[in-house]
Amino acid sequence: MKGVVFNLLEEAVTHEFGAETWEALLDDAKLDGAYTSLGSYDDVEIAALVAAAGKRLDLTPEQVLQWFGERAMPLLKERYGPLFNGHAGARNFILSVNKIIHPEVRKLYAGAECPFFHFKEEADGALMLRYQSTRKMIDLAHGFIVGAAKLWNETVTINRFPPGSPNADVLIVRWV
Amino acid sequence: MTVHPETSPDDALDFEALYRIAQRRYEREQRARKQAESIAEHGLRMIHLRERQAALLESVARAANSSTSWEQTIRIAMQEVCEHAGWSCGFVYIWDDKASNVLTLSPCHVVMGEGLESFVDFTLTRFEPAGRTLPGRAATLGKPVWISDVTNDCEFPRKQSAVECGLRTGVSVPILIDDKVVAVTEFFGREVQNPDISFLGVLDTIGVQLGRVIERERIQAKLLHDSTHDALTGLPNRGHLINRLTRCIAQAHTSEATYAVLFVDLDRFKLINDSLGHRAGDALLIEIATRFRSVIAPRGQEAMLARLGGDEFVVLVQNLNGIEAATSVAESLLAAMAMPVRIEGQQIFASASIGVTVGLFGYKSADDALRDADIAMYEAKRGGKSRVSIFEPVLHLQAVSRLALESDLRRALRDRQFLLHYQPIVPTSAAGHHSFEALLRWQKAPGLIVAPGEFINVAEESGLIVFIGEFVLREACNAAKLWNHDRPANEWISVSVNMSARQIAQPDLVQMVERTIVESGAHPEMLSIELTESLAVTNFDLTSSKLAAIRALGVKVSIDDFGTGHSSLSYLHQLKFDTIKIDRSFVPSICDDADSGRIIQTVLDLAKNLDVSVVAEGAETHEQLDSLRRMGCDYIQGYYISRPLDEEAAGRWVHALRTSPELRRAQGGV
Repeated sequence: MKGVVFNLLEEAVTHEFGAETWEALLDDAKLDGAYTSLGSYDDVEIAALVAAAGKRLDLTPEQVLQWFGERAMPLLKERYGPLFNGHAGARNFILSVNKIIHPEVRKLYAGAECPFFHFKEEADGALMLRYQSTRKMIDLAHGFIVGAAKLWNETVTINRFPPGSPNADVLIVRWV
Repeated sequence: MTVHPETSPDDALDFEALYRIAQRRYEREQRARKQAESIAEHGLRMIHLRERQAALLESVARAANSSTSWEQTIRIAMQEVCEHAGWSCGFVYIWDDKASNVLTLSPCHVVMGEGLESFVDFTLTRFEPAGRTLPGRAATLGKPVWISDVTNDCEFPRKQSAVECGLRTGVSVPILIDDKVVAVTEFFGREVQNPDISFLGVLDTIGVQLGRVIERERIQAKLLHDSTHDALTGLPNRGHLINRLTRCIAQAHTSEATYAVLFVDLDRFKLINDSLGHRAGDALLIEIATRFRSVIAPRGQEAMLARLGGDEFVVLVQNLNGIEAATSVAESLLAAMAMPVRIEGQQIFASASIGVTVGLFGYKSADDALRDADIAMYEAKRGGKSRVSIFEPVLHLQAVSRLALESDLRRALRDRQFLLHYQPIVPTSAAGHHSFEALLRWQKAPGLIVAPGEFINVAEESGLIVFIGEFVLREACNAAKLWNHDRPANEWISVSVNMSARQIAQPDLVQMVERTIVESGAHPEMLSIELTESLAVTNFDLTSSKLAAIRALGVKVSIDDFGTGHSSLSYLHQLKFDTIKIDRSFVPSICDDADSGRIIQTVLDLAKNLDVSVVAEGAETHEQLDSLRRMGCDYIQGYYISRPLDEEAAGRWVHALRTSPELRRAQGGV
């Protein structure tokens, strides 16, 4: 996992719960917490931090990831403004993820393993995304989508299939 | 001594201040870290960009080096650029210098399945890319033009179509050869994109690279054209003609297709070249080629005019019905030459001899057909200038023997088989001088002497006469030197040597004569140059100036065969010469035919008025000799005096001159 993700998590946690909470999470996860955005770190470390946060906030890891994704969005906009400009809305922004955002990510972080989204736009206006990645972090994507909608002052509902379903990797996004 | 600093309990306990310091330091460090990361990220982004651009340039260079056509190279380059930039389609326009217009060309790259068909169709069929359009601007500026959003550009005529297809960015890049725009590429993307200076630089480089590919292909095409065309006239050359004729022959074997080959050779071209210079000769060839072109132009693709080299042209005409049609084409070519050609202030009347052969003879190879047309051309030439001759198989046999004779003559020159005989020319009065006419003989084998009548034409046609003529002159000068080594100047015996048209046309003739005389040690006055009357009056200007130069050396000049050619008093008046030789045809009948007698008398009177001496050739009897002497002829040459003598006999003749009574008789019966 790229260091920038750890940086964003630190910023989100610090912003909402204070620096001491982040320090506590690092202690709980037995990590020293020196992350630079350009570095790569073991996926186990992000999982340990998510687990630690869950325990302290009394949330499931899925809920932690969704919360993180949502909170990370404004922070990402702060860092990478040009990627957000030029999009009329969240839908358009989300659709550009494979072709624009992830290629940009790869420009910065050689070897970044970005997920791929198979898009399908339904007749009723719903946007169906199938998440494809070696990491099981669909919930982070879920949170990103909610956060993106908020950036454009839009409201979305996201429907999921239950764990174990062949469609457990699908997100159905509807704009309210 | 140990110093213990005083510490204030208040300072030690001011944790809040310490915390604030630490907090500030922490925040500062964090800002510095983010700044460092941002700088590093920027660097990485640039490296990534450069790597991708380098990869793009590399793939375009690879395409440029490996593809077989510039269209293919450009198509690959456009695909690479589109993939690199995420653009959806690209077009190429070729800049047409002549029409000062931009023309659309098919190489284009379109990402399929993006619904761009209507825009592509509009561009390819209805769009006129000149002027202030996107490619028009790039072509005019010679620099890339970048429109961030074509749907907001008032000078973008395809706006409506671009809106319908969702195209926004438009970029046009010129393709240059030495700063000259030869083509323009054009790309469209779906996103609004601001000009990317660094990428424009890359596109510029690609434009130059593609320009080199086009230039390379143009050079290749030019080389190919040059290798199949004559540089002077721009006509197809021999190789090109042979290819076409070979195809023609193959078609004639499998179908009813007919063809004719016309071999055209300009008459007296070498003379024009030698007298007026090569530049004039070239100008004449260009003019003739232009005239011939217009003659065959109406036949379009069915006829080909080629220049084989020198003054030889060939016209190949396909789908021609019979020999008459071929002859009519040949006559049209001759008619095209009727008007004089004006070159460097001079009017030149050019003519040609044309040999024709047709596919009906069932040729197996182009060389055979060309050979027969060439043979027919020589036949036309022999028949006189400006003629057309049709090939007949018997001509081939004659040509073969002529060719054999030519190679025999070459061998004869090499093996020194030529020699001279000398026929005495004696004066009819005691005041005259003795002389000889040098006559060429060919000792083909021991005991076999060939007279010039059998080979001189071939020697003249092949140009060997120039070398043979030099030999004759040298031998004659040597002989004269020998005869006169112990004689006083007033008793010198001179030798006259015949010159042919080819020799007269040699640019270095005068120098050659002078050099030969000097090398032999003979005196110029021991030499006389004979040329025929007809040769003297054709090319009058050239001949008269050369004769004047030769006379200036001290060499005498005789007009041979007088009375048989185009006797023209005005020419005779202008031409400076020393002797007239009355043609042998008049002498035999001098005693029985009053006309012959009158002609000879007229010539003698004329000579007297011009103050030149007269030699009568062909005197075979005492009566003839007597008549000629009575009429006042100065010199006699003929069998009655002596047959031509070999070198040794001539020497004896010279030795005996002063004492022999026979010779005194021959001198006029004194």
